[in-house]
Amino acid sequence: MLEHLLYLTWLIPFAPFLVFGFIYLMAALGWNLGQAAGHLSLIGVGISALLSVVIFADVSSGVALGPIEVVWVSFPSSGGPPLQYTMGLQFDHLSALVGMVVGILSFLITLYSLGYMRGDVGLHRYYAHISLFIGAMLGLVYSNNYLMMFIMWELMGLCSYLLIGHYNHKPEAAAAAKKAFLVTRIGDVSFLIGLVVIWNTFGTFQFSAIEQAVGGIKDTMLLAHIALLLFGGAVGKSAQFPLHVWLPDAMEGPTPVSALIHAATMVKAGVFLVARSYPLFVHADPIALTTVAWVGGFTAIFAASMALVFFDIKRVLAYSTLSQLGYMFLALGVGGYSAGIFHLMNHAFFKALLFMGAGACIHAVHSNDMRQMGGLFKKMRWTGLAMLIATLSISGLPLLSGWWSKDEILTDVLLSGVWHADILYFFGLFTAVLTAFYMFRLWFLTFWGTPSHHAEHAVEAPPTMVVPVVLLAIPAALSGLLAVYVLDLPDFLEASEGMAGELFFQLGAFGLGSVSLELAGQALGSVMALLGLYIAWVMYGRRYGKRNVEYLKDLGWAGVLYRTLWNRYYIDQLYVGFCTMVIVPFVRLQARFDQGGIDGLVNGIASAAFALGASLRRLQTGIVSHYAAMIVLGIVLIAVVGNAQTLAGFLDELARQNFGYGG
Amino acid sequence: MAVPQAAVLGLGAILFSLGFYGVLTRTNAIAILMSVEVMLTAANINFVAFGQYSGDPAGQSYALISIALAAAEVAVGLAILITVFKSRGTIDVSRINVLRW
Amino acid sequence: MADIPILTLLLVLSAAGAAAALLVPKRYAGAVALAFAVLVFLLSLLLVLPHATTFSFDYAASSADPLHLQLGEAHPWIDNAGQPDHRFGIWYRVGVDGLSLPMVFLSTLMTMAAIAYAIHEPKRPNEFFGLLLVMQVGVLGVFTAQDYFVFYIFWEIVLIPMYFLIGIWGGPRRDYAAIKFFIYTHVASVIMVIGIMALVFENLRLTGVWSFAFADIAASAPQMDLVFKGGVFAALFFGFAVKMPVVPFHTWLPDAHVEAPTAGSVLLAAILLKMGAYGLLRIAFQTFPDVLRTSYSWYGIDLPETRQILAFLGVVSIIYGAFICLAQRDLKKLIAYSSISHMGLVLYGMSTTTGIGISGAVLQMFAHGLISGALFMVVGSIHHGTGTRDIPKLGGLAQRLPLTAAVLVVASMASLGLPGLASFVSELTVFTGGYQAYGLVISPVSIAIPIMGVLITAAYYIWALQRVLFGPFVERGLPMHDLPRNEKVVLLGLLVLIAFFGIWPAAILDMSTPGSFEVASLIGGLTAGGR
Repeated sequence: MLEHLLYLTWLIPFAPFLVFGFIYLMAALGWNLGQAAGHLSLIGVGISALLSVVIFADVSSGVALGPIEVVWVSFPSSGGPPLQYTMGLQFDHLSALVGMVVGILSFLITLYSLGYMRGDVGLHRYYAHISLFIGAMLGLVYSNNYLMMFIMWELMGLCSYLLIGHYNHKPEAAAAAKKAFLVTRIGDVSFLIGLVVIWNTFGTFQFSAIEQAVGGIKDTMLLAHIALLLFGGAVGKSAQFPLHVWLPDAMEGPTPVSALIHAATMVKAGVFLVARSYPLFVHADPIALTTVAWVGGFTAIFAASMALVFFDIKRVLAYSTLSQLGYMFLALGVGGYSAGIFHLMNHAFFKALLFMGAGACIHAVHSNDMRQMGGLFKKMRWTGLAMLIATLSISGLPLLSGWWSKDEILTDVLLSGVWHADILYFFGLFTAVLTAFYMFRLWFLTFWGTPSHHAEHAVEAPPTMVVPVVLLAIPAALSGLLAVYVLDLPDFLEASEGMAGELFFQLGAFGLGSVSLELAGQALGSVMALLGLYIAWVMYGRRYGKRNVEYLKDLGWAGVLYRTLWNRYYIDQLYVGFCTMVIVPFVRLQARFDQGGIDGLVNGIASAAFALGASLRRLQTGIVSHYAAMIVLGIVLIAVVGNAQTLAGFLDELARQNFGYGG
Repeated sequence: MAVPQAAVLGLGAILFSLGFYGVLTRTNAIAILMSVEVMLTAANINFVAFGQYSGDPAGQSYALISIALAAAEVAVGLAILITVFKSRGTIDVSRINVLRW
Repeated sequence: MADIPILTLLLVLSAAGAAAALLVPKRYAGAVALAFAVLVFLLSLLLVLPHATTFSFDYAASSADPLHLQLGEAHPWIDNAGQPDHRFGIWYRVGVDGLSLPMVFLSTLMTMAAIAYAIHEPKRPNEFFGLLLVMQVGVLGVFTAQDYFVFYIFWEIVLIPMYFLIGIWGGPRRDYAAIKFFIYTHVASVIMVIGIMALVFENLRLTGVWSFAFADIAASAPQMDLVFKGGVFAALFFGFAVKMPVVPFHTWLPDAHVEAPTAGSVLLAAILLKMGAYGLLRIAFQTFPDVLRTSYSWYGIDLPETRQILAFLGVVSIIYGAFICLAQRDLKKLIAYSSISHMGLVLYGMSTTTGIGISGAVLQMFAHGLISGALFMVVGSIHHGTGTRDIPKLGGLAQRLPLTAAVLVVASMASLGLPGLASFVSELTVFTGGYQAYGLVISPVSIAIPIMGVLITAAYYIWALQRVLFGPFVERGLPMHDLPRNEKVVLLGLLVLIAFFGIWPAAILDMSTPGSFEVASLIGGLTAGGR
């Protein structure tokens, strides 16, 4: 549909950008748009979402939408064509699929915001930032080069910062915003270095050009450096260990923001970046993909363990997001390219739903604390049901969407030859148990049991909030089935990248690859999910308040474990301690050195000049005779010193003439 | 009868030293001025002496110019001393030291 | 049309504006000064816009012969040309190329912005605006001069108005700051002038002709002794390094900034600091390209290549300046130190001696001019609006002064290199050049360390934003007001420009890249954009 109007695709990022600009233009002119800003955003995002769906339809039906590109900056080059920074969009299978998911979710969450954010004082800010964010995210997905991707990446970081700090009068929100920006910035610097190395290696930022050139580069360690630098960016943005600390705190933002940015889209940008750079990773030294797999696998289990203990509903979901992102990296790391993207898509749907449902609950009881909820299922049937579907899906119950992608990931791990795939497989399996457990703990605590007194007067949220939640329940349940049987996702993705499946298994087979093993693995995954569900049922569903996780708090070694989890493995304290105990004293010392040392030297020179003057002025006695004496002394000195040689000759001559001796 | 050059120059040197001694030791401004005049006279003697012995009349002319200038200098100097005396009540240079550090 | 002496016209108009501002009645001083500044700005805009008029800068000719001067003028001044005893060869020579043009444009733009921002200055407005325009004369002269004598005179002219701006309209410690500024930078220029005189006499010795022209001296420089050139380079570099400023010659800057009135700070950060960097590129680099790639030995100690010494000083400035920002309590001082860090990036970019690195450095100069100007203005507005600049005393301003807060956020983001705003591309290109010249981690001046400056910069800005704008509002019982109309117009205008040059950096890079690559090829650095 779009092949003749290709330039219209620029509207995908620019329609929301224009809304952003317009809202702030109005604000600068003193006109606060309020709720109207929301409707404007919805229009802007709607245009983008529509276009992204059209593009997906075109691309999946085999229409080639050529990349469109403009030159941004051009540098002369000795002898060759000028080297250029370009801005461009490309529509391959990967960007079409992810773009469609992002577009749809953005639209639904903007719609949801109309209800959730109603009455907020900073509505125009909120919608401006959301629009900017959505434009940037779509721009990132469709960009055809690393530079544009990085630009959009950073704009998303800015929006994330501003939206986490939306309630900026709250010190926690301000601190969380700062933390999010700075921690992701660490990754961004890595990405930036990666850009520099890419430019100096390839002379271009274009994905297609790099993909063509990458095979010709023999220095696999150089490629591994590039890949790992890019992965550093991904670790920051997708909050993988050890840069995971910002995401749970980011839950201080409004709930639609958590749903959109910190669950469904922005945090996936890291996964998307690795997927985009897959040719680089595959051609690089295996250390690159091994690192990705291990960081992902470790984060999956590490974050899931922390999700076990918290009561803040959004915080539990945030740790769950970390863990699921870990799964995606694990998949990419072991060569499961399509599995990773598949999980990205499924997770976007069910996690957005979970956040929006959680938002509805928070809206109903005015608290994030799950202990203040309970028994909400009777009051909020639609929300509760939708969340149950999503919970089943994320836990990996058979045939629901999470099951498809999670099992594909586990199978890929099992089949891969990555360093100690057996341990990674164990991580993955155990994470599946933990996931089912903490998700059902969340669901039971929120919707089951007896309502707390806060929850007694809860009512179902307004339609603008419920409709998106219920709508999302459809893809949350069925996206896996549809993707596998309608779209044939693995082929769809791998065809687009022009990479045959075996490429991913260059790492070497695990040794046991066989169909029966694969089946056994899948069955094992489902069993693990059911196990987790059962434990949660026993602890929280059947009779809440007896033997549960919190009960461990007072039990010797288990109490130590509990407190470690509750304190998030003390990693946050480590970061804070590093800043307050190392950096701050250091810079204070440095400031004193600057004032006392360097500036002290400068002022010391000035003081020395003053001191010299003060001592020399003593010569000015004010007595005429002294001056006269000094004048004469000076004359004599000049005469003697300046004419020493002449004088000596003269005296010599005089002596010879008068006394008849000498020379 | 020719006076030896050395003798004339010696006279000049003695006069100059006397004048210089006076400048350095006297605190009365008028005495200092007189001493300066003595030094100038010594310089004039040297002019004349060198002019005489080298057969150049320029030495004498410069001496004359110098005498005229000395007269002017004394006039200005005395005028300054009168104003100083009027404003400060003394011409003792050891007590006129406002330009001191 | 083509023979209109447009550069002289810029200088004369600025000077006329200064005279007019001094002479008109008090209440018109600001308006008259602004009118002249706008006029000068519009003229320079015509100069910059491609194909706007016959005297516009010719981009095509510039990329064909990058360092060839355009709009050049030359008239004998202190010179008895044709006489038997030829003396001095001092000519009034001005001209622009792609490296000086962005600076000329920046100067006229920021002077106009500073005057518009301070239009309601109540204290001795005639002198205030007069001095601002005198300063414009000086900086335009520095950026267009092509003769050492003329260059030096304009260089010194800049000092005087700045001294009075700090000394009369400054804060509580203005006397100290003004004298420190004047003496420190003056000592530097005196050492610079020693270098200049040495060059002129060496040129006289070699060619037998008196000349102060940049071009003549650059032409005879290859015959000069390498050690002699090293010494002169050091003298010139000292002069420029103090102005930039480069750590450890930076301590006049925080004092001057903290005490200067806002308009003075704006011009100081936006334009005056660029004089040092521009001088380094225009004079030191183009006259002594071979010095940069030479390793000297000094009393038996073998030094690294000169450019690596410069790069090291750049890295030190970046990191030192950034870290010390974390310790600041005074918002204005924080921004002053951040300027040191950002000018360190300029020095680092130039020291790479790669085409892309030098282009990036020039772009960074331009971007930093806009951004630091905006930052000093918004800090000035916060000071007016709340009565303090002390970070711990501020807090929660976003609730009461939303517009000020928004401007501060955007300007800070621009300063920390957010893509889409002006300084991102310059950072990227500088580090690209740094990688070409020094690699990733192989040497002490490889990009791994200076790039950490990006991170620290983010840290101090974001931390400052948190403490100043966010959190609960601290009631101090002071009257507070958001931006007055003129400040609002100026600041929003600057933000629009910051975004414009961020979205379209080619506007500056098209001017500066040909020249930058030409300088790089003079030095023999990498000239390709990549690889």
